[in-house]
Amino acid sequence: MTRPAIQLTRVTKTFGSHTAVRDLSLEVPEGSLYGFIGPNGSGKTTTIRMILHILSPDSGEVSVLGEVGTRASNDRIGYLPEERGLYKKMKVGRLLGYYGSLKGMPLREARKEADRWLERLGLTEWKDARVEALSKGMSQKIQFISTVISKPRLIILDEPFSGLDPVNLEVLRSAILELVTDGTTVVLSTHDMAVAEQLCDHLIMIFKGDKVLDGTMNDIYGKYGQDTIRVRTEAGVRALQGIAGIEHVADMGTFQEVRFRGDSQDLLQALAARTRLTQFEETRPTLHDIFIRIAGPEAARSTGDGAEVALAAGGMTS
Amino acid sequence: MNKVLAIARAEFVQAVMSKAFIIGLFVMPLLMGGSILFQKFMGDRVDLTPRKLAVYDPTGEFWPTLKAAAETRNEFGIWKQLEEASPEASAGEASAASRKQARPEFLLERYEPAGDERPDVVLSERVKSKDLQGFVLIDPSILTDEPSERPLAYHTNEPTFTELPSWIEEVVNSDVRARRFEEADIDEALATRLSRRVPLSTWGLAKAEADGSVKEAEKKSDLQTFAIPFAALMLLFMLVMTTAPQLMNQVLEEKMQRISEVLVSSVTPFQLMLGKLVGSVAISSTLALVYLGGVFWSTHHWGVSHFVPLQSYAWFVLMMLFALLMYGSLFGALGSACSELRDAQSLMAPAMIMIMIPIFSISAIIESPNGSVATAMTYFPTATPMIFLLRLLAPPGPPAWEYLAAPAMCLVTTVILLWASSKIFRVGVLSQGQAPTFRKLIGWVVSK
Repeated sequence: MTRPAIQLTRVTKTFGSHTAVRDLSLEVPEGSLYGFIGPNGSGKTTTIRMILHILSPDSGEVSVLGEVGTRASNDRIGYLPEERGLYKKMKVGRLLGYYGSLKGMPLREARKEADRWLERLGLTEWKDARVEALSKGMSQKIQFISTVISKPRLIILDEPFSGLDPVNLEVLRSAILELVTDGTTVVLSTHDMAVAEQLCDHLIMIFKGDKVLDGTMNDIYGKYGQDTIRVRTEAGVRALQGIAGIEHVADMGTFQEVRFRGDSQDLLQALAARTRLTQFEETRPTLHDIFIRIAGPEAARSTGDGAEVALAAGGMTS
Repeated sequence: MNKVLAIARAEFVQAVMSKAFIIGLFVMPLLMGGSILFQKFMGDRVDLTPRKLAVYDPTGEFWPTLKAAAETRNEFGIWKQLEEASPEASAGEASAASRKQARPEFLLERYEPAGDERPDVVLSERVKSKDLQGFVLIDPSILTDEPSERPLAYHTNEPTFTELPSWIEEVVNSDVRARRFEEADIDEALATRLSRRVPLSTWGLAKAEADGSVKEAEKKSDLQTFAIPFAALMLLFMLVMTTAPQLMNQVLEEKMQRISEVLVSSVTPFQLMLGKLVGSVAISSTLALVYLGGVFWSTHHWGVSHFVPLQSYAWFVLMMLFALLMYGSLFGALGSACSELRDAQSLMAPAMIMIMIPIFSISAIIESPNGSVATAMTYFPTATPMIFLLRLLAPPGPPAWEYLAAPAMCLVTTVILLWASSKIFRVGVLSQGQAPTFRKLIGWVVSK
């Protein structure tokens, strides 16, 4: 069995009276694309900071790339923090060289690697521009290059796609997948469960400092099955009001995802009697839906993803 | 260590290539040179408008003296010689060509009150209407020994122009003095000769050499006793001010722009702080090299290099290194503790006072460089580099034991400040929100 890239054993971190991470254990397999998901403030960033040894855990053990409790592996880790930081007055080429040299890379090699990545992401002509002259999307791609320039074995990306337009998002997504194909372990931390669902093969879900879900996507879907019905009707969410057997509704705007206790044909008939149906599909639950099921309605409010709907009959407990 | 150097190099290159550095490098010499040129330029541009003065002299005794003195002054006393007149030129041509008016003329008029008008009221109106620069009232008591509140009064609404009252005072007093000598039947020339002052000059110490010869004492100059220590302290102050607050701003900016987190994922907070310190020392050293090079060249050029011996340069560099490390670590730590510029500025005030203490005490220390106050202040931890440098350059220099004690004090202070700052930096660089209180900062320092 290969050694995990990251192994956390019963790690706890508190700040004053607030417990940011509680008794967390996880294993990130080498070469995987591993998702850390959970709403903002759930403890993802604290966990990442402990992996990077920026913060020390109050208890438990952190092992990264075989190094236990030291920063020895940090030069082999690339980190893209959620809140981006680039020197605005520095020129792009020099900035990337500097970030590479901070990882112990010879300056010349760092600059060569920077050139390769700038070309790969279509930014070669911006090499001599100051960072302040770049658009937000371009800055984000530069930040990404600064993360991967030192050819790290482990890359931790905290919300890498936030604020990106679809074109740049696709560029970055394919770059990440390319790194995984080459054997790099990637940890993707995000509150956007749809993104995690698309990309990750392993997942850990953290909520209020506790691990609430951990496993491969197949494990997770296997466990939560295909008990979700996607409904698109002319009357919208109102059509679901008062139908017996509905356990939970996630209103996604133009459609709703319904968890129904009983035969789905009963729900179809009940809806057909009320409104015109344009879609009725039995599907597997989304990660968001699974998350709500595990963490409760409070979690839905904290993600801001979809809207929980309180229905007069049927209830909403999970 | 490579990472520390990588940070230092980045800081150095970024600073040295900035416009601010290039401007800063040349601003001081330009300001100094510019101010000399400006003074020279302004010196030639005196307001030469004739100044009209009314004299009310009820005694009638001083008016002739004042009038004659003014005429003499206007004829000979307000001109600056430009060049030697050519021998072929006539006397009139020579005087016109070789001299230039440098001071304004004084035009005097005698005032006699009409009827029972009050001279001060009437003349004040004329001053207000800009007819006169001012007027002088001579009290008859001036000729007697009777006490008087205003024996000689100059009235004006422009008291900043002091040349005119000074001239009046001088002329009237020399007249009064002559009258007093005459009344006492004393030869004034003799009295002046007998009461002339004996000049005093200040010299260093003579020294008996081993071979029996004597090393003669050297005459002390203001350049050596005041100008050199003062200039050295100001240069050190400027170098500290160029980099220490800048370091604070950089650390704060990195925090505000969220760069710190990327950095501390690659280097330890201590490496980050050390790299920044080394970078700022390199920046200041570059500036120091330029300025000290200038001092070395100019003292040799003007033949006063013996006033700044080579060991002074070495001491300056040593004290500069201590000062930069002390204040750099202090300001860096303060920058790391804050999340907003406003908080940093309020925390900066006490640190600034520490830097300013030596500046405030310059005159007290130069006056008595080895007195108890100067000695005690030398060992106020953060003031040591600046005050010791000042005392080192002000003759006669500190006693021998201080050449060891002061650097030792600097070393201890620097090590303590580096240690405490790295502790603050470690916690502060990732902290967000409200600036910590001093109590909390101390808590960060003593935390494990």
